[in-house]
Amino acid sequence: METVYGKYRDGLVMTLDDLTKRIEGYNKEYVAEGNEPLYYHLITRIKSEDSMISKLDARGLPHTPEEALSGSIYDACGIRIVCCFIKDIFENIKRIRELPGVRIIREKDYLANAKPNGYRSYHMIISVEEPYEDARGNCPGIWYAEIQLRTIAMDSWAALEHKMKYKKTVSDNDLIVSELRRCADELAACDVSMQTINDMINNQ
Amino acid sequence: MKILIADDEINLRTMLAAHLKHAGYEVTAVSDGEEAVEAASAGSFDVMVFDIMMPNKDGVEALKEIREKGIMTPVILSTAKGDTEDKIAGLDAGADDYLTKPFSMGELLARIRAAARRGAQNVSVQIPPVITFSNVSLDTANAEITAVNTISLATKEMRLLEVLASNQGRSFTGEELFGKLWNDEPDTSTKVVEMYVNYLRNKLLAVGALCTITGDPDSGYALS
Repeated sequence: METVYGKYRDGLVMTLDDLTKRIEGYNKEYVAEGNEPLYYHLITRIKSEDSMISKLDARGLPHTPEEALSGSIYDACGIRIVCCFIKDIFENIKRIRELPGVRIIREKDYLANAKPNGYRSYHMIISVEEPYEDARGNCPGIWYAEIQLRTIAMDSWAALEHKMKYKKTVSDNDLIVSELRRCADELAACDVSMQTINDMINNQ
Repeated sequence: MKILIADDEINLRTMLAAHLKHAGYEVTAVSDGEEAVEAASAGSFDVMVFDIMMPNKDGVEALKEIREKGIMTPVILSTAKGDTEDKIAGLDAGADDYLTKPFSMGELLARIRAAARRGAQNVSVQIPPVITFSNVSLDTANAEITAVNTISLATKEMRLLEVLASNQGRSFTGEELFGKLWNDEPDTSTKVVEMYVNYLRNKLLAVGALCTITGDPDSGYALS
């Protein structure tokens, strides 16, 4: 079957696999030093064909591996790191930045600047050099991934908000939107409280 | 500004309405107490002026009913009688001011202005009070703080921040804060103050506040 990722699909899968192993690797080291794990869930996915095609269409781009994998769209590889505490998010970010061969393309801090609907998360777009030919024909290739980092509370808000089928722009839904925002702010408050309690326990 | 007038004397009513309209007010004029209650319930006015001696329902009865409905718009009562008993009954029924006929238009207008001012102040008390400090606003009605972001506060967190924010420049020891906010829970450890200060410090940080709570329980806590 012809796919939007073409013959580069294997390289894509292996890139995601390598990145995942490296994140698991620094976490293992961290735990070996006597710390609690840096994340609660590590979720990875290759963007589905349908979803990639919709995104290419939305941007008016042709359905080619070059567009899907080489710098027009960065999230064919997706990694979500769900942490227990806010500080763990920043510890993960620090360690991702330090990974050899990884370059930061773009970062968005929706913790410091929550989206108007209340969404909180930290997004990193990274590039990584891998020994697989990329869609521009470079070998070793440059591959891209989007990493989202958030707490369990932020993740549960995002998951539930995503499940609720409401029209996000219609003014009839002002109340729903503002209540969801309130829930997000309350969960953020819980995250801060849990962090504070954890700090107190660790300083005792 | 909307004024409701109730007076059964058609000439006086017409004249008052004309004067008030000329002074820039929107006027609704009715001729007895029953109509006054109906009009007050149906519309929203800034000030109401009722004659006491009116058919169907007098001004004091109308006023009582209106107050029972929870309408707290300022009411000025007017009457030909300068009777003290009348004034007491009127004020006790919830009137804000009193005018004895005959009165000058100048005095009526001044009393309407005064009543409207007091009414506006009452309304402002009901509007959620927001205390601002640094780049932070503390919305005490919704229990949240906003700077770059918004975050919710627990009741005690809000009351603690309220004390510090409305006394900026002053510091409070842990003991003082415990006495103010936890005096209903004497069994609680005084360490709770430290805990709540830490909650607030992290929440201020989380919303991107440019200030924090400095100090410790002994030297005193303050916003800075």
